Amino acid sequence: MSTFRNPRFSPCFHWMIDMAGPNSIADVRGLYVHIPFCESICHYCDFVKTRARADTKKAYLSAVRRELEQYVRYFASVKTLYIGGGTPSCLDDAETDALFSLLKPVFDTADLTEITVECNPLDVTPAYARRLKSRGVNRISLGIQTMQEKHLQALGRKHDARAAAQSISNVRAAGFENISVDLLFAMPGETLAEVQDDLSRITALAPEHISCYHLSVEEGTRLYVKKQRGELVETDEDLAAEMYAAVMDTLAANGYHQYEISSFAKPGRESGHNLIYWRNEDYLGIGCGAHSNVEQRRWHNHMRVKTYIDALKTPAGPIAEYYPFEGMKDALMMGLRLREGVDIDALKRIYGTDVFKQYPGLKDAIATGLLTYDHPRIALTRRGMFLGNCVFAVLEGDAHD
Amino acid sequence: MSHDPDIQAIKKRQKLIRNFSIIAHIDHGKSTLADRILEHTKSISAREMREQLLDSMDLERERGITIKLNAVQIKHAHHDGNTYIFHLIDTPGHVDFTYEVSRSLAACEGALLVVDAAQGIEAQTLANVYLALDNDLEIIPVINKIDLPSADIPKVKHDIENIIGLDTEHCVLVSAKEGIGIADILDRIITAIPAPSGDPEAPLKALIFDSYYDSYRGVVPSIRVVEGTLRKGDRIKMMATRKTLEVIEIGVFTPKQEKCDVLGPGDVGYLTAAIKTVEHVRVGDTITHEKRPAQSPLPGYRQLNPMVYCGLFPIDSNDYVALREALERLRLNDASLVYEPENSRALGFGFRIGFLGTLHMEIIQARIDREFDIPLIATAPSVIYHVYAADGTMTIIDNPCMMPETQAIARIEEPHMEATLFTPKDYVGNVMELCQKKRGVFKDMKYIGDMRVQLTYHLPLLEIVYDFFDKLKSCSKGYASLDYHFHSYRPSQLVRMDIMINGEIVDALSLVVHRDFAYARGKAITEKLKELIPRHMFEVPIQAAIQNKIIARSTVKALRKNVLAKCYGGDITRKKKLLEKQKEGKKRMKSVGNVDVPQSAFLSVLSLDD
Repeated sequence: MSTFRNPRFSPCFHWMIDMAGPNSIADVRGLYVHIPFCESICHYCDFVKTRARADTKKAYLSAVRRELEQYVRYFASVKTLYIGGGTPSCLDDAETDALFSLLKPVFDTADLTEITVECNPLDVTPAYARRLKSRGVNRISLGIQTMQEKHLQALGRKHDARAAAQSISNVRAAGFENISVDLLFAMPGETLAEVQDDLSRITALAPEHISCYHLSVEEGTRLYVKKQRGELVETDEDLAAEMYAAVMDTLAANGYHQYEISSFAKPGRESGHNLIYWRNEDYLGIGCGAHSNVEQRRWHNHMRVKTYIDALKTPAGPIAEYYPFEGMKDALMMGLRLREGVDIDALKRIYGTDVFKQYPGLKDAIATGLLTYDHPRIALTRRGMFLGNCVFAVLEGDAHD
Repeated sequence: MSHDPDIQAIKKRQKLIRNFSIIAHIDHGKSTLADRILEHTKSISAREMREQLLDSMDLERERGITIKLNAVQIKHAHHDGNTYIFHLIDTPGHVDFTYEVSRSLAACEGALLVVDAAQGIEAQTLANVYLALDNDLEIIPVINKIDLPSADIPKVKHDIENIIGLDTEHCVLVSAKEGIGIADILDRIITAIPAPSGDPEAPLKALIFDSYYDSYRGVVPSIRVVEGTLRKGDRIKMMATRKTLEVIEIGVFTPKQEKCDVLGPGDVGYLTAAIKTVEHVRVGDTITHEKRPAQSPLPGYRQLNPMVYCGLFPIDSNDYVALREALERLRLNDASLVYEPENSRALGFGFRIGFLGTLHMEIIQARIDREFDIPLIATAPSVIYHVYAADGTMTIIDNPCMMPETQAIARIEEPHMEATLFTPKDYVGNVMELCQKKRGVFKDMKYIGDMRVQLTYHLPLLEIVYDFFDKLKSCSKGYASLDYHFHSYRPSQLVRMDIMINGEIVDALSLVVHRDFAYARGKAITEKLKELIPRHMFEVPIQAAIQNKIIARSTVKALRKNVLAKCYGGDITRKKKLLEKQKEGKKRMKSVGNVDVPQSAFLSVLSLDD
């Protein structure tokens, strides 16, 4: 368990001086590396991404190496490595090699159990899949989103259903035994039948893990612009609820265990890396826009590629902003997303307060059937998964009002 | 006759004063014309003038004054060798503000009637012209935009003569945009509009036609001196409120405030007297001297009857005092605002307020919300009923919630008004149909000229206050006008309708309605509320009931999905922000039991399409 420093954040002057010294007993479990480059921008995406030239990518990887070097002492405890984006798979072979080369210290020091790379189905040729496998990657996350051609087009995705299926088969052929697929539902104009079709086609391809998200229209995306213009047909709330129910039931019937609001896995194939977020454990984020949670400090790096690259040439470093670590509130906000819920005795030990005293609204949530309480765990019920925000709202500003 | 050189100077100067307003439909060029007149006489562009004005007003803005540019003194060196003193008094634009227009006009001797050469006479032009005529003003027709290819001057002249009945022999043709004809207007003003009459030696009579509140100087009335002379340092008396004060400063608007020493008959300006209490200054009141006061006040102008009433309640009951003060301040420059305290079981303490129309109501409500930062809830309008029990005793009920149970009522009587409606003959059918629909009883119809019709109906006040005025305007393209006064109380088949949200009666939404209209209105209200009340975690039934019998209902479905789909490391702040936003949304809502009801729901019941 880490020592508890003053949770109030302070502006970052000399980046390294501010961090824990050699006597730190931080317990960073996961390492995230952001590759913000993409061939094209999807209409729904609000992640940090950009189309970029080769020299920018080169400069970026150098910056990433420099940032990584500062955190060497945290590597020992790391169990999961996650390379996300953007589209990590859009790097060419030389760039991919460069990436894994700069990650070598991590591989050498840490006892990694899960190494994930996010991929666009079109990039996953048999050769590429083999290349990743040879570098030690043992989990691939494929951005399939849907098998319905017209929705793929509407979202600005460049692959088709055939390419999606092919990518899974290429990944299998390369020897991967842990494949995750991203799926969306409630796309504009989507029908329940189309959702069912996606579910049956994907389950037929039998990935080990499925992340299935209700599409949300975020500011800064092309879909948002369409919405502002009144050109977007958003899915009716009640239909979306039916869709979510269909997702839950169909995946359960196919052997997937729903362990988080949007995450479904065959037994033992839960995302180790993502569990770190939901269990409020320590993690480090490398690269532009990446977030970290280390020793009760939370921060994120500069969002824009150029700013990030330049920042790493200065002693100030890549951290753009610290933001509050709110102990028990964060633990509940994240932990209640999991089917397993949260251990309130553990929280009491760590934070010294009774959860129900701090958030009396949680008792109402139990009374209205959104939460179950089976001492010492509280967890969302099935209905609670649908209406999660009603529970999380209790945590936002409810304490001792 | 005095030989006082001072008085002689005032008399000589008085002959050179001309007070006028500009009456025009929106977009017919009033402001451009006003700008041109200012430029022509002041030799500086209106923009420069506005910049000067805004500079000095930034300071005033900081001190919390509402800026109003409504009485400008312009000096004009005419080719006859004299320097004339014009006072241009502004009239506001919208049809709701007939009352405002009338008090501006009371300070003038003449008015420029501006008509667009291409568009011709429009509804609002007409309404304001009649007001000007009622005030005995000399009207100068001005045909503007003569530069437009679609200008049809002969037709417009014809319309002016026939619809309004004004002689167009001396009408002025202008193009404000091109700057044509401006000098002609000034000439015409000098020749046609009389100099103000009034004896500078008579007892003082000055009309308060506007006012505003300055946090440093107190209430500042805008005045038009009609008789007598006002000097700095004089002790004055407000004739209606009987308050006596010492004048600290007097001056004119150029448009900045410019101090001066004396104001004589015909002068338009302002005074300060450190008046801290808003009630002491009543727009329409007459100011006179404490010693040697005038025998009688100036005729105040007609108080226009409020057309729409509603209850306004602060969402936060702690804002009650602030709301009362806000209403006091607003009444300073909006004397048509009529209000008194009211109490509601659901909403606590508030006020029942009368407005000239729905626009007026929306503006006042928005001003209270924005300028005074008081979020409000409005309730359905009501009138005063006489309720007779079986034994003949009468109770006066002014709040629908207080209406007793039907068994206890022998009969209910409601106030009926004698309503006079003016409309162009083209819309007589529409207007009569509307009055019929609103339970009106036809009394009389006669022609005024060959284009205008005057209708007399007896209408229940309840139907007048609920939506009648807007419907009248829309069925007559804005041309029709309405005036009414009390006639008598008559029995009617009235019922109290209650609105229940999630099984709980919301007293603020209760209303009294004629039995024949009950179902339609109940249905309209429940449908409207269903759209406005957000979904909750449980189903919310909305019902309209008469005596516990449900006559209409709708249901707000239960919320089925409300969860953030994705939440990884970086999303935690986004999630917190989203939840905080949802929480803020709730703050502007009133809780009725377990249900959060937004302000808009309370306001919505005021304007429904039947």
